[in-house]
Amino acid sequence: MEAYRHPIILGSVIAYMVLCIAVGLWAMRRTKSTRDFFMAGRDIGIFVTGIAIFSSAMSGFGFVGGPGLVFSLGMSSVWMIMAGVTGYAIVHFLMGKRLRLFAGLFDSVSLPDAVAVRYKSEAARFLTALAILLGVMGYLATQILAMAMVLQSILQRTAAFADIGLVACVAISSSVLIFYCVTGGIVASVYTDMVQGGIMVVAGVLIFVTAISVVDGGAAGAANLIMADDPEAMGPWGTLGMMGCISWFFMFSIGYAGQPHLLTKIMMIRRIRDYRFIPVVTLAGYMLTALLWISIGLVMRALVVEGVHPGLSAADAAAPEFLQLYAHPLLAGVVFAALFAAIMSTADGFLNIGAAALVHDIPVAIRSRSLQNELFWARVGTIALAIVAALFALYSYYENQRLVALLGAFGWGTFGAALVPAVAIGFNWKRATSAAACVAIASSLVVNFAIEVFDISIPGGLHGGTLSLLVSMVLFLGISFASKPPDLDPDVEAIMDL
Amino acid sequence: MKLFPILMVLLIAICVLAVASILLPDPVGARGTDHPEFANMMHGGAGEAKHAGRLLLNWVFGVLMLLVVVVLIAIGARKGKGLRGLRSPLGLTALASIVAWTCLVISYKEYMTTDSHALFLALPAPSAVMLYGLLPVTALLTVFYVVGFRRWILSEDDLAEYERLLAGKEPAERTPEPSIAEEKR
Repeated sequence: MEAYRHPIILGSVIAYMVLCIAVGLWAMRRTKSTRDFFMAGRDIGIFVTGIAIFSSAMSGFGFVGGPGLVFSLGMSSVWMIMAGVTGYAIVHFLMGKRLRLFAGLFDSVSLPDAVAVRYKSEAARFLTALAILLGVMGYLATQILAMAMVLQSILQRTAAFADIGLVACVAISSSVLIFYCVTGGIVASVYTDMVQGGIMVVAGVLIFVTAISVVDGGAAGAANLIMADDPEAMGPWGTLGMMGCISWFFMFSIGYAGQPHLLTKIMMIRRIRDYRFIPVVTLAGYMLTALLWISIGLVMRALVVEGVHPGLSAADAAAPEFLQLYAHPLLAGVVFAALFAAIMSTADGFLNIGAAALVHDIPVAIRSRSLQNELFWARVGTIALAIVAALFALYSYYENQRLVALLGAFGWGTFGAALVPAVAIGFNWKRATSAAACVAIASSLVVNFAIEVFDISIPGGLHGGTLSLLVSMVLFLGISFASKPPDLDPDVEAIMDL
Repeated sequence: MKLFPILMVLLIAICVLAVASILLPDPVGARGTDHPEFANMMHGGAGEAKHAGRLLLNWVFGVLMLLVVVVLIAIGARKGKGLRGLRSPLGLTALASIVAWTCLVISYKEYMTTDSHALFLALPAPSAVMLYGLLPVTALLTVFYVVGFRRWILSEDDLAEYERLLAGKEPAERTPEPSIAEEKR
């Protein structure tokens, strides 16, 4: 079996890609209008929605970056997982019912659509779409690059593709992504998310069982080895320190309520009363997948400090090296497919909301009406966005590595700071004004961009994203309190009363 | 209950603490240092030197943060000016999370000053409090959502009211979007 390790891994990844293409072709028959393309016809059931919500948030980070962070920082990264549990609760309470009610009553096909209705403001729609588009570009480029690098590392271990370059890998992986996103829109995206989420859960559980059996003494043995080398690494704050962890928890937990790829999926559920069970599916899937994140990171750190495994060339190599050396070949195949699944499930969601911002929201904000033949333009926009992101990823990789990091950093923190006040709070507070929403969104772009461009390191261990979230929330509340309460559309008011 | 003024006060208090944290001198190795032996691995250093002077400030920061979370949940669950019976469960969750957080900080205070550490379910005491204490308490929020959905989140009356709104909504009033017929044309 060991001799077939690489063919098994390659076969799993190819099988997964073929599955994605098949789902894309199936979903094409269900995609007949813009509402189908961007909102899945608001006809998605409990399991599909619940799994899509967690799998699109987990991304390749949960499979590569997460274990790498645990390897590097010890328990610090566990606060991100804690933030997920709290963050999903905040999302469900603040946005679950409200956003679906808005989407149903006003026939919104995107988050900025709902924002425009809530605030009676095209400026708010435009700024929301702009923040989404900027964040999406960075996230998408990062995901495409990650996808291509994983594919390259798999293909280079086979004799036929030993010399394959990164450009070819970007082309292959992006083509699969573009195919199912263009043919099936968000329908293909959420159904592949469901498959992807399922693979991720299975991988998470199996890897956890494998990982704790690798070290003598199991999980306790690994903890003792790490503590003998560095007690802080196994303590609750890891090596990052207390303020760093608290700051992460604040930004990530509250920031969940501002992630447009999650919020958009809430708008798609078929029956609003079904929403009751979605938090269970989301939380269970997230927790089981997180087992992989924690277990690989801790076990690899223990193995390295024990001297059983040589030091790593990069912290992010923790998961790939574990899979190559300690996991059964079949399991490694499943996990590599899961890794692709995790990356693609995030990328397809971003591609869809980015295309919506590009061909629906920004034109409507500027021209006060949609484009003619919007479905056609949605498909063109999806292709254009993916190609630009792929080129951007390659340019950044070969010419200026800081570019993708810059826009990638724009992602979570900017979405959180921009959309938590304007959407998560604003949709629950009648007194919130459009001016406050616009200022909050603009401030999030300015503060996050300034922190990244000028490479500002905030003393005291505070995260830049936490600072920008605090600033935008205080501005939003302060401006709304200082302004005259807005005149709301009677239907908007009625929805906010429910 | 004036949830939005409370949220504003909590956020301003967090801002004040953030400024205090920024102004206080950064302890050496506050965010860890490179591991002396292994590449791409950070070393936590001496916990006591990193945290001793800041433990109280960080504890208060954590309490305020947990209160912000509970207030946000309450904002989401609010109907009109009331919390539809969710006030007590949320109050108890806030209390339980603050107790768990306090236990975590106290057990860490002990952890950072001693050399031998007993494990509970494969984790040292403060990390065990974090994962087996604080985490389940925050997960309670999801339990409330699921169990109390009909009572606290969306009642049958709410659904009936929503159906009434939907029925009264003229298609022309909806968000401008080309119809399927238009797209085919």
